Parts: sequence; C-alpha cells; structure tokens
Amino acid sequence: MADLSIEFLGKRMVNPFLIAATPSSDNYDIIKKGFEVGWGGAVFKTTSVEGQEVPLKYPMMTGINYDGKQTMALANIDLISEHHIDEVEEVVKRLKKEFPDRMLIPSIMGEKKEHWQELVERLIKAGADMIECSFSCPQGTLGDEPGKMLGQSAKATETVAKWVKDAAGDTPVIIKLTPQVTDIVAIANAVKRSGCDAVCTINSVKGLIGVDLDTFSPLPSVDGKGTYAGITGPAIKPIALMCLSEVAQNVDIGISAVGGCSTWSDAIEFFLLGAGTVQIGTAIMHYGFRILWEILSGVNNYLDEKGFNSIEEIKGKALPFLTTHDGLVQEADPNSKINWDLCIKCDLCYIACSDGAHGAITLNEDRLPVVDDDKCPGCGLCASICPVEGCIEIK
Amino acid sequence: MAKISKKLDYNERINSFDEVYPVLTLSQAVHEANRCLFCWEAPCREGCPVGINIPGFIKRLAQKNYKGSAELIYLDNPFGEVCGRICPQEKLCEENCRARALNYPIAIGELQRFVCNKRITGDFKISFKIKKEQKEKIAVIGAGPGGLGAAYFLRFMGYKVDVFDKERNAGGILRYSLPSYRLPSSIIAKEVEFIKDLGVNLKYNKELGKKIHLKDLKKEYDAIVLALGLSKYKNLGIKGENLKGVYYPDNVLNKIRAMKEPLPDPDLSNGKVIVIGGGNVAMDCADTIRRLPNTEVEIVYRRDFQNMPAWKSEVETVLNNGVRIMFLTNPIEIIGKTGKVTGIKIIRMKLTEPDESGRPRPIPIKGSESIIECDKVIIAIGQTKDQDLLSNEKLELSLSGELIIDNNMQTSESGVFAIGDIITGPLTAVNAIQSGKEVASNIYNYFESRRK
Ligand SMILES: Cc1cc2nc3c(=O)[nH]c(=O)nc-3n(C[C@H](O)[C@H](O)[C@H](O)COP(=O)(O)OP(=O)(O)OC[C@H]3O[C@@H](n4cnc5c(N)ncnc54)[C@H](O)[C@@H]3O)c2cc1C
Ligand SMILES: Cc1cc2nc3c(=O)[nH]c(=O)nc-3n(C[C@H](O)[C@H](O)[C@H](O)COP(=O)(O)O)c2cc1C
Ligand code: SF4
Repeated sequence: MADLSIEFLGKRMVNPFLIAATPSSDNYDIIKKGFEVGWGGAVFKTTSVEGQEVPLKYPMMTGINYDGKQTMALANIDLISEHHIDEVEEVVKRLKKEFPDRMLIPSIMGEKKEHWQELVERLIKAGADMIECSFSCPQGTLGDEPGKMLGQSAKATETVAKWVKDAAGDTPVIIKLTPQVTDIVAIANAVKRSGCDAVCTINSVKGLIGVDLDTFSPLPSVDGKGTYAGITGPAIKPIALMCLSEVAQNVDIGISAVGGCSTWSDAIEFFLLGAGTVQIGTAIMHYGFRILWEILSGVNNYLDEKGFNSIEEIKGKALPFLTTHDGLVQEADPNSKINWDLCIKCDLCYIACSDGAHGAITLNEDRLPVVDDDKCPGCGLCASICPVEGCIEIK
Repeated sequence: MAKISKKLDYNERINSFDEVYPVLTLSQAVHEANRCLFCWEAPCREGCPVGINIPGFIKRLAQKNYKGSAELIYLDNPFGEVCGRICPQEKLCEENCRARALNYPIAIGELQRFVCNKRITGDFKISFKIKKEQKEKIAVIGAGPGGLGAAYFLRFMGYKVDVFDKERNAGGILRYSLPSYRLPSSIIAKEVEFIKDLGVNLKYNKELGKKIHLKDLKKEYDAIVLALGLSKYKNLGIKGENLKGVYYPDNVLNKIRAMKEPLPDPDLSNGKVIVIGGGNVAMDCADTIRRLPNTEVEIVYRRDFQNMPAWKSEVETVLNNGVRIMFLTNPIEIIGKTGKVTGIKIIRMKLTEPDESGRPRPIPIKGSESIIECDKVIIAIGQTKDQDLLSNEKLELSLSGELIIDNNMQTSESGVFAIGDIITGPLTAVNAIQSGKEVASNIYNYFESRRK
C-alpha cells in the first residue's frame, strides 16, 4: 500500500485529488458529499464580490459523444458562481471545522484591485488554505478588452497576480491559466515574477462544440442562439498534458493540473509530467464523486506494482524523456508486427495502411494481413486503429 | 447467462469434459466492460446475493486495473471465479442489468471470471489484512461454499477458524458433483488456497457423527457453524427402485468427476438412459451421461417447460446437445428382468391449479400409461439432509424434519449455527456463501452480547 498523501505548496494533503472549480464545488452540501467520499480538497467554483450580477443562461451544457460513449467532451457556457463572497465565507468556515484535513481553495475573480484584494483577505480570514484565481474563464469578457482573458497577457497576469499575492501574504496563491496562448511558459513566468506560488493548468478550452442541424443554432442553444463555450473532459487531456509539461520543464513553480483526467492512468500521466495535485471536473460531473475510488485504487496498484512508495517519487519522472522533435534520435528501424493468433480479420489495418499510410499491408488468401517490411516504416497507424488488444505492435 | 466468449466448436465440446466456454480475451473483456453504464445504485448489485460492487469492478476492469477490480470482487466473495462461472446470472445480476434496456445485459459473470482468472493465473496477487485478531475460536463443519464462505468472513473479522470436512478435498458439491466441463477442480483449488492464505485451517477426513461430535467441539470452540449441505438424494418410492441399473445423481456425477479419464466408463456408457427430474441436477446428469460413448438420453419430467425448476439456459444447452425431454410425464414403475432394468412405466400428466410451490399441480391422466424401454434410470428429483445425523448430535428438528433455527441462524444448541443448503434446501453456491457472510456477523453479535 503506497502512501497517497502528498505535500503541496507546503501543506499536507490526504491525497492529491481536488474537486475542480465546477458545479461539483459550488456549495456546502455538494463539497461535503465529495469530502465524505474522500476527495483531498476542493477548488470552489469561482466567486466574486457582492452586487456583481451573474447572468447565467440555460441550457448551459452539451456533450460530444464518441463511439457510443457519452461526453468525450463537454461544452459549457457556465459563468462564475452565483454565490457571492459572503456566502462562500460561510462555506469555508463550516467545512474547515468539519474537515480540517482537506484543502479548501476558494477560486476568485475580480475586476478592480480592491475587489481582488478584498476577496483574498476575507477568504483567508474565513480559513481558506490556498487561493486560486481564475485568469482564464473563456466565457464572458473581462476588463477593457472584450473577449480577452486576463491569462492571455503576460503583463496583465503579472500585475493582477501581484495584487493578489500582496493581499494573501503567506497563504499560497494559484493562478489558473488558459491553454489558449502562444506561449504558456511566458505566462507562467509572469506568475512566478508576481510572487505567486503556483499555476493551475488548464482551464476549459474555448471552442464551439457543434451546431443543431435543424435549427442552425450553435450548441448549447439558448432559445435558438449559441455562443462559444468552454470545452472540458477527456478530449482536452492532450492539451492539458502539453501545458502542464511545458510549465513543468521551464518554470520553477508549483502546478495543480486539470483537464480531462478521468481514470487512474490519466492521473499517473499528470504526475509523471510534473503535477503536484490533480483536479477533476467533468469525470465527477459524469459519474459522481465515487469515481475517486476507482482512481485511487488504480494509482495505488500502479505504485505498488512499480515499487514506488509514494506519489512524490513519480512526480516529473517523464519530464527527462520529453524533448523537441529535433531532439528525437531514431536508431531502431521499427516495423509493424501483427499477431495472427489474435487477428480477427477485420482488415482495418489493411485499409488504413493502404489508404492512409504506406501500402505496406496485403491480405493473404485467408484474409490475414501480411506486412511488407521494406515498405513499412513502422508509422504506427495500424497499431493505433486495430480493435484487438495487443494484436499489433511496432517494434 | 450472457455469453460473449466463443463456445468451443461442436466437435470439440460435445463429448468432452473440458470447459465449454473459454475465458474471455483481453479485447473482449475490455470492450464489454466499456459497455457498462456504471449505473448509480446499480440494480445488478442488488441482484447479487453477496452484493459485489459490480459497476466498480467493471469500471476498474475497463481502466485495466485488474488487481483493483479483483479486490472489489474478493472483498464480497471468496469464490469470485467459481461464481463467475456457475452462478445463474440470468436470474441474478444480469437479470437486473440496465444495459438490457439499450441492447443486452453486460456479461457480468464472464467479466468477473476474467478478472479472477487473471489473479489465478498469477498476473497479480491480492491479500487482505486482518484488522484485529480476536481471541475466539470457531469450528465450521462442512467445506462447501457455505462453510468456506463463513470461514472466510469470520477470519476477516479476526477469529480463529478451523473447517472440518469428511472428504479429502474442499469445495463440497462444487468439488465432488458439479460436472468438470462447467467447473474444473483446479479453479476451486485456487480459490480454496486463497481462503487458506487468510489463515483458515482446513481439517479433512473428519466426519461429524463419526470422528467428531458437537459435544466435544463445544468444549474447544466458542461457536460452531454447521454447513453440511444436503447429502442424500431422494427416491421416488415406486416399484423397481432397487433394480440394477437404477442410479442416483451422486452415482453418476461424483463418479464421473472423480475419474481421470471418464469416457470409457463401462458401467455408465452404452445404452438408453432415462433421467427423471426437471431441476439442474437432472440436467447435469443428462448432459454428463450423454457425453459417454453410445448413450441415448431422455429426460422425463412431470410438468412443462415453463414450470421447470432448472435454469432456462441449462435446459437449452441440454436440448441443443441432443437430449430429449418428455414433458408432462411421470414414472409409476421401473420394470426389470432378472434383477436388471429393462424399461420404465410412465403416465401422462396434466396441469391444474397451483400447489404450495405456486406452480400448477400435475395430476395423472387416467388410462394414459405406457412403457419406454431403457437400460438405465437416473433418479434426480431432489436432495435432502441427513436428519439422523442431526438428531444424533442432539439438534432439534421440526415435525417436518427441518432443522430448527432462530432469526440469527442459531440452532436449538446455543452457539451452534447452521447455514447453506442445509437450512434453505437446494439453492445455489452464492446463496450459501451469502448465508456464510450473514452468519459471520451474527456470530460477532453473539459474542458481543455474551460479553455484556
Ligand atoms: C449437481 C449439482 C449441480 C449444481 N449446480 C450449481 C450451479 O451451477 N450453480 C450454483 O450456484 N449452484 C449449483 N448447485 C447447488 C450448489 O452446489 C449448492 O447450493 C451449494 O453447494 C450448497 O453449499 P453448502 O455449503 O450448503 O453445501 P455443500 O456444497 O453440499 O457442502 C457441504 C459440505 O459438508 C461436508 N459434510 C457433509 N456432511 C458432513 C459430516 N457429517 N461431517 C463433515 N463434513 C460433512 C460435505 O463433504 C461438503 O463438503 C448444484 C448442486 C448440484 C447437486
Ligand atoms: C460547468 C463548468 C463550470 C466551470 N466553472 C469554472 C469556474 O467557475 N472557475 C474555473 O476556474 N473553472 C471552471 N471550470 C473549469 C474546470 O475547473 C476545469 O478547469 C475544466 O473543467 C477542465 O477539467 P475537466 O476536464 O476535469 O473537467 C468549469 C468547468 C465546467 C464544466
Ligand atoms: S446494471 Fe448493467 S450497466 Fe448498470 S452498472 Fe450494472 S452491469 Fe453496468
């Protein structure tokens, strides 16, 4: 049994899994439920100061399904929480008393310096362990430049992050970034310069999930019209892993990673690429808080099997193996190896190779695929599309 | 049972005593697991007598966390792989599966078997920690699924457990009677080993009533669990039952199972065989005998297909394998010549108003008697317990011969509990395991109340 507790920004956590800022962390009852299941902490749904209107529109979500499975990606046009700081303060106080060992991380968003600082001060006083700042909500507009997120400007990021850190003092501050920037390292460096303790990569990815073919309205459709939405869930994991690893390789700063984590093996990938904690949103919204048990079981068994005693031992382990394309040196001369004992003769490898790759596969009289090693450079397409586990290997 | 693995080819399976369905391949298992909806308060779980966290183990399988998956299964059932194979899932978990509403139920039994098989073949090891060792000692008599289930859960709670059995191997009916083509001995042995690894002691060749007695055991143990099963097969009470050529299920199933190479058995091979009965045991007898050379098998059953107690999947298998069933027919005499069976006299039946079992009562149609020629008759009409043994051991029986137990499954003797088929009548392995689980918590409460 490996040790699943971790230390993050100087604080001990029972496990590294946080409920991401989503409807699953929007009030006392729901967070309590999550903590009872065992979540290590919660980043609260983003809040703002009193009196600021939150014009929510419904329906606010649509999923993309893939191959019969629901929500490969989820699109939402949610905004920040409808609960203002005064309510959130109360939630923090109550939860701190009832679950002293769980990380309480309110998420905030303000407009003016006074807003940001007031939010920070009040929440820390209420008992917040850390503060997360959303610089990256893809819906709504912020500040002077309509449609632009704070986290898309290094300069604005540094300025505002510094306001927050000044008010937070010793309490750790995490700045949540958007992946939609030319250079996320530049933004993370700006956070570093501001004195803040960590970044959170990534917020939802701004996108357009689809169009209703009958009404022509983009989805989700609010009375016949749609808009851009925040895309989350398994589909954005590759983007999340990319942002995480770029920051981890280049900036000496804490990282709370989020974006598409749904299984234990996803979680391990996040740790291997340098995540200090992992936040989960869509997978909870899909299956409920109980998904944590399946994730913890898998993480634990992986660590045991590989002989690691704690999550800390695997943190960043994949980073030394991550290089640029120029940095890839190929010595082996791989080929596709097809195991005929497993082959079910669907012949998808044949058609994929002939219409999408190198025409290296032919079929013999029994419909079994035969690889021409001279033509096959080992591109990996056949192995990627073969429906049979372990049937095709590139080696 | 939802079967998604490919049956052995007809020629390979039809007369063989090897398993008919191979374990799923990895692709089959993962694909099937991914069909599971991961239902909330999953109805499949409610259908499982021992309450395995089915969506949980399937989700872990889908994520290829086989060990975590197996942990969930064995937490609630020491016979994970056995039950994956022989439970009537069609009437339990799979009956309730919500995926049925979309297309067809998840093959839960096959997935369970797949995961547990990975443990058994050494892909990973699981081990459970005993939370706190207790001082009490418990004797379990009978190493069938009920007794071993009780031992497993009692050991979990930290008690010292000795299991006694009259045989030389553990597993009860599963080990001695179930046809090997449905459940190979190696699988039972591996799961028994798992129970032993937890610290349960097994003591063989100890027959209650002969080598051991309750009054002695009571001195040494703080509680006793009787899990003796049903050791006697019922007879028909008609003329001709002691002719040569009349058999009971144990003469067939236990004998064939115990043989290394069953096929040429000279006694049971060759000839026409009538099996009497409509339960699973009758189906197993018919399908076993049918596998022997030169046999022709026909089942005689007094009700109709709808009202057969055997599981529908079993009946279909038997029919597909070439056994005929005569419905609405009852034997009235076994006929013989020079002390040997030559035929059976039967009468046609018709169904009338429901009897106490809720099924229509079959009554004979006057004047419809006829004779079928045959060489052997197997009487598979039910099992009962050894009542003499129980009364000799000073346990109270009701007028109808039932062992008297209270709500906590405790017999007339304080500290002596009874579980499994012996109290429920013939049911299933998983029901016996469930009663073992239940008795474990009853015994815990019994000790607690004694302490007060
Ligand atoms: C032919 C057949 C096929 C079946 N098929 C299935 C199936 O496919 N699926 C399913 O779920 N169920 C099946 N069942 C039912 C299932 O086997 C029983 O419900 C289950 O085995 C009952 O468990 P038990 O522990 O109560 O009793 P048993 O399995 O009968 O075990 C009793 C144990 O007690 C021991 N014992 C008995 N008397 C004494 C004594 N005096 N001293 C010491 N030890 C003693 C026996 O040796 C035995 O090991 C089948 C039953 C039969 C007969
Ligand atoms: C409905 C919904 C509401 C969200 N609200 C917020 C929010 O208020 N503040 C914030 O920082 N992120 C918010 N997010 C983004 C998530 O915290 C997270 O970054 C994103 O969902 C990616 O993780 P996932 O793929 O695990 O869901 C929201 C996501 C969803 C789906
Ligand atoms: S009922 Fe069927 S679909 Fe639902 S959790 Fe159980 S196995 Fe999965």
